[in-house]
Amino acid sequence: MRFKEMASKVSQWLEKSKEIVISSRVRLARNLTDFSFTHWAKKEDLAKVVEKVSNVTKGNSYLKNALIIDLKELDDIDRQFLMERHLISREHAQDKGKERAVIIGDKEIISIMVNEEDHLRIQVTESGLNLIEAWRLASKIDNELEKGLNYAYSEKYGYLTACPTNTGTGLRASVMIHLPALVISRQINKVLDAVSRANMAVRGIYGEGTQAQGDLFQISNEISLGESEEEIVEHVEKAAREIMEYEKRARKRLLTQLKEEIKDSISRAYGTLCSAYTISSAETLILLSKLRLGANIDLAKDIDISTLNELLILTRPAHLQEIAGKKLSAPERDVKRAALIREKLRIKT
Amino acid sequence: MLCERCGKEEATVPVIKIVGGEFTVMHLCDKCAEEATGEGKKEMESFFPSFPDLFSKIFSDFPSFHTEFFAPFKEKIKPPEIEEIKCPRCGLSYSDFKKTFQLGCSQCYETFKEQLEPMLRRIHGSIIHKGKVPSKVPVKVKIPKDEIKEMKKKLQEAVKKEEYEEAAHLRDEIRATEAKQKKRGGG
Repeated sequence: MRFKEMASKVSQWLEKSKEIVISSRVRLARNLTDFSFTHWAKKEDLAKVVEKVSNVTKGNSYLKNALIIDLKELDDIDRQFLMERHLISREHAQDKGKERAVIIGDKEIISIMVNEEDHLRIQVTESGLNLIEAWRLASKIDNELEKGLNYAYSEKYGYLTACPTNTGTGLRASVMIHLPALVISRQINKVLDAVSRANMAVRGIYGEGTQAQGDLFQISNEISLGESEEEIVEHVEKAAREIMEYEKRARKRLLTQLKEEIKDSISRAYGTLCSAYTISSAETLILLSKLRLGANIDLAKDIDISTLNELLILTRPAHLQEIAGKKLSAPERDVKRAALIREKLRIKT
Repeated sequence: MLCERCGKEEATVPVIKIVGGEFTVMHLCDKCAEEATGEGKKEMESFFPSFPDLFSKIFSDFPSFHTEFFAPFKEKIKPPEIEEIKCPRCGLSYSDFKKTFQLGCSQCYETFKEQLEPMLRRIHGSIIHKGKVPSKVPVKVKIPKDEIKEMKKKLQEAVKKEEYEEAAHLRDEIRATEAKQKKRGGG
């Protein structure tokens, strides 16, 4: 375990986030034309890809002081820790022993996964609804990387990726969005249905195949070919803005029609979080979601959202273990989690 | 806000649609949204007809996620030898691709072009990249005229066979390709 220091704080993009849209992330998939794609390449070729990308990164002006981490050297908890911080994907955290790396920029805004499904997955995460900035920064990093690398690119199909679902721009623009009022008022399925019909994907907060927990959803584009990056980003932003409006309206309605019930539910959530002696990860997410809603609609004015952001990440299993500096069993983690929550809520609010 | 469809009930659901690349949002009431959803489904079905029977015979061993993408070009599924085609550069066979839905290298896009293009169109609604161009790609790289010729030939064939949906796709692609050439100073 090697991330004790990093584990005590959250990434910058999350620290500042106070809105319904918590964060905006852009990912660019790129491959090197001289090598087979990751799943089909020989081990020694993958090692060469890691070496090449690492070397090019060192000269990148956006990646000064970046951490270059060889995933082979990490234990399971370390890799899960990076996943919990959204620095690597779930897939990248699995498959121990493969030639894989992650390059993490200053303040954790930028991360580049090497030898995930594609040779490079350049990720930029910003606070709130800000996909355009995330895309601009990702593109600038990409421009510099490209000078030292030969990308697989076709005039006709654009950037060539291992999976045809990413061909073209290689772009996935996604927003993490908190929709408790739509969930409470049971309108969420309709909204998400509409999202899927607009060629967008809805996922849980840890990407493909993960469940939506704590009323947090990820909305992203499905189409990467035939539209420019700016168009894709605009479509996702527009969809996010629409959903946000519906969430706001649902919140207003809750306040007029169910004020007492909602207030009660938020107060109880606060009570449980402040006094529980042992608490699971799932319950924590549900209760934090209620408090966040309370803070947003002025029913829990004393709650500082940045504390909630902190708790969202620090109470995750690998974070608790990094902070403790040792492996903990699930019941041990539940005790540690409850203690951490009590401490943070009492001191900061 | 009132429902944009019936104008009577309060709008509670955003119905987002992309039609012909245009992104539209309608604010509808519950009832209209439900009806619109039904319509939307019908539209999608006619747009992407499914052929479950034929398909299940061809890809019976396939996980459903993959089958969805392979479905539309079942008509084009060639005799068994398709499965045997191997990429000359990386050695990946078409049946390898079907197992993982991952290509082996950049050359595979050429090797499996015939199979990939309908699939890309099915996934993205287009096969022509409109976005970023790496600075290393020479500005005047041209798409061979032969390719446009070939596309035009396919277009004529499609019209002849009254496959208007396919024809519309091809027409859009020809336009996009020509526009791209013009923009880059090629052609």
